[in-house]
Amino acid sequence: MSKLQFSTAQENGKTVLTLIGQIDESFPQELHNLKPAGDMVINMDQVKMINSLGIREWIKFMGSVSATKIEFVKCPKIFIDQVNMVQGFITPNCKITSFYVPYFNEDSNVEKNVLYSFGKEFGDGFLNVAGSTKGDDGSELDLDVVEQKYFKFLKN
Amino acid sequence: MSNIFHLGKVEADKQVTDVFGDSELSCNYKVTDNMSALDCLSLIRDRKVTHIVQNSIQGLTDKLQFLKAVDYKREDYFDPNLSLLNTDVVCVPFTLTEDRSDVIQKAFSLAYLDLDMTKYQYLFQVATELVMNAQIDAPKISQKTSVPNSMLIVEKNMAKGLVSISTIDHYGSLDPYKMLENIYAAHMHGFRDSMSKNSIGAGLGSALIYEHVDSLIMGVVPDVMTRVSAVLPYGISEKKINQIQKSIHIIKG
Repeated sequence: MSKLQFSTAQENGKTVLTLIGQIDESFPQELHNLKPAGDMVINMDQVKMINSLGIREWIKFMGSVSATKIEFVKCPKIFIDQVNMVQGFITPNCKITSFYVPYFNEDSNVEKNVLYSFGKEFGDGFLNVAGSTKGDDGSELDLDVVEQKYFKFLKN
Repeated sequence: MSNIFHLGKVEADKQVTDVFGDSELSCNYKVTDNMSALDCLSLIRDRKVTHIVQNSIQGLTDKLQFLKAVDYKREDYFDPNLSLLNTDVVCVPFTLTEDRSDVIQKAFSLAYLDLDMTKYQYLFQVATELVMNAQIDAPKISQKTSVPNSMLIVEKNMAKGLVSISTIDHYGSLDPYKMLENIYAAHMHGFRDSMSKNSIGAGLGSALIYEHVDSLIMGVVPDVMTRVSAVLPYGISEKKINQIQKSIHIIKG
């Protein structure tokens, strides 16, 4: 059984694909045969892990939907890390319109993931990175990425 | 910003003298500083050094003590109860067909590692690659048909900001230099171009592990046993993690 659950829905003429779980060698074959009607939105919010065999499956999947305009939303850090590290992890027909930026307090081991959205924190030619944020308990959390590395994908 | 782990030659030499004293080690090692992840790989490729040691989140003294211990008695490294971080060791045996996630979740839970925090997803990723090597790659390469269960070993030392994750299998089929070659290829040519198209492995697992480690330890007793350990940061900010100076150990029994 695949460790990646998925569902599709039609919204405003777009196919919305929601992925939940792990991207690994059990990647669902149905996704390789997916024929989206119109543009596609992929919601990555609940993707928890990507392993080396999953990277290979994902690149195959990207190849199979290369003719479709794709918008990625709510991308977790683990996804952004692969986008930055693996050339071709997302193809030129894709655009990331929202992604999480981690904040962390080393003393209290508390984290918070802040959603950055296109047109708000970043856009064509701009990126506004907050150096810190407030945790749910009011404590100060520092930006927990190396900016030159983490936001590299925005330049491409 | 200068590297916070950079010790300088005088201090590094002092620590070497403090730990090694007059003893002469039999292995080919290099204690160094300010060496990039790629340079470490190149040094092993070109000069056949078996141990590269740098001060990092895991301190130089701890690494030198480990080096001295395994140089004196290599078989100790293959003892599942060996502590790499001076803490309690959690061992979880697993079979070739057991669900990897279940095995890892059990070990992490026993070691009080927080799997809910997205910050620590890389620990799960590294553990997955190590267990995959033991479950998929090792038996494929080896001729052995019946072996005891493999083991996932986890340690956490909050005070040192470190976690170690190891696997032991009883195939003894690891070629450490081939593993390093895969990592080197991924660094030189990129992950995509070094990816294998065959059905066994993508060839990226080792590079994913190396990406996150402070120390990578690869031990093999040919046809008997393999142990691979990843010493990783825990509870440390990404800005510090980015300054890690990697160490590599190759231990052949």
